[in-house]
Amino acid sequence: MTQLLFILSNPPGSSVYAQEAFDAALAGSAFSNIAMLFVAAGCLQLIEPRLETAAHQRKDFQRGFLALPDYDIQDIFCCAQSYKDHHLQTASLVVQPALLSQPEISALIERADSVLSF
Amino acid sequence: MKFALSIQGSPFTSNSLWSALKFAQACLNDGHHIHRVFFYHDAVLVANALQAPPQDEMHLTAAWQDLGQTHELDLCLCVASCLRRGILDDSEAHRFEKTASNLAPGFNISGLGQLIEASLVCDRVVTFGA
Amino acid sequence: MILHTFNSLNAYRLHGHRPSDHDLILLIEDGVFLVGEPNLGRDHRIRVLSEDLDQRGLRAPSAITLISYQDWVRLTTESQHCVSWTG
Repeated sequence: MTQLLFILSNPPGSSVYAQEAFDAALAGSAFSNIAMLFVAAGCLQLIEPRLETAAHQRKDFQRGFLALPDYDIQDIFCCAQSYKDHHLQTASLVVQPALLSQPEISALIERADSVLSF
Repeated sequence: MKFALSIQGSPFTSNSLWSALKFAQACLNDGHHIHRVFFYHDAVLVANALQAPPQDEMHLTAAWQDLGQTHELDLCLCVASCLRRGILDDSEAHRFEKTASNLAPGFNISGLGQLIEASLVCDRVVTFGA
Repeated sequence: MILHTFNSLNAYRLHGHRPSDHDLILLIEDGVFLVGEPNLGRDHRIRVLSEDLDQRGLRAPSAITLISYQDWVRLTTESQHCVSWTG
C-alpha cells in the first residue's frame, strides 16, 4: 500500500505550524497509509502539555496523538538522537514513538512513496 | 513528469514562495506538468488581494497569478490555514458573516485532501519550507 | 538517491548529517551562506543554487558545484524524492 511519510520538525508552542502539520497528517491518514517521523525540535510535540487550552495561547493539539490508533496510524517514529538531545526519556509523553537511528531514517525515506516535510 | 509543489513560508519572512515560483517556471519550461500548487501555513498570505506593496518591490502575488493564468495551474490554498489568517473567498466570508472577502483572483481555497491527493498521484512532490 | 534541500544555516546544522553517501545536498535560500565553511568543496554531494548565491552577493570556492533552477528540476527527476529540511 502507498505510504506517505510526514516529517515533523516544528516544536509546539509559539508557532501554529506544528498543529497545522498534525492536521495534515490526519488528513493523510484518511486517504493513505501514513508514517509520522519526529525530528529535531519536532520531537518536543510528543511531550504531554500541562496547560488546558483556555489557559494557553495555542491549542494543546498533542492530546490528539492519543487518538492516532483510531486513525489507524501505527507508524510513529522519532529520531533517536533528537529524542536523546531533548531528554525525552525523562519526560511524560502522549505517545511512545519507535526510535530510529539515522540509517533507519534514511531507509524509511527511501521506502516511502511520497515524503512531506513540515 | 507530474509535479506537486507544497509551499509553506510567509511572503514576508521566507523565500519559499519565490523559490517555488522559479522552480515552477523551470519545471514548465522543461515540459513537465504541474498537477497542483498547494499553499499551506503562512504561504496562503500570498493570496491576500488587499496587499498594496510599493511599486518598486517584487509583487509575488501578481507573479503567481501570471504564472497560474498562463499555464492554467491549480493554485490551491488550505482552507484551515486561510480561515485562521483571514484569507476568505466570497462563500467563506458569507458563511462566517464577514463584511468583505479578500481572495486574490487566480487562487482557490480547498481542503488538505488536495495536498494528499496530489502527493498520491504525482511523480514528485517538492516542499518549499518556511 | 535522495535530493535533500537545506534553506538555512540552522537547517543544515540540525539535519546536515541526514543525507546518505549516495544522496545529494542542495543549498538554497539562506542555506547558501554555508559556502563560507572551509572544506565544504570536499563534500562531493553538495550543490548550491547559483541565483540565491548571487542575490546575497556571495561567491563560492571553485570546488563547489553551482546549479540553476533548471538543474534543480533535473536533479529532482533523477532522485527518488526531494526532501526539504528547514530549521
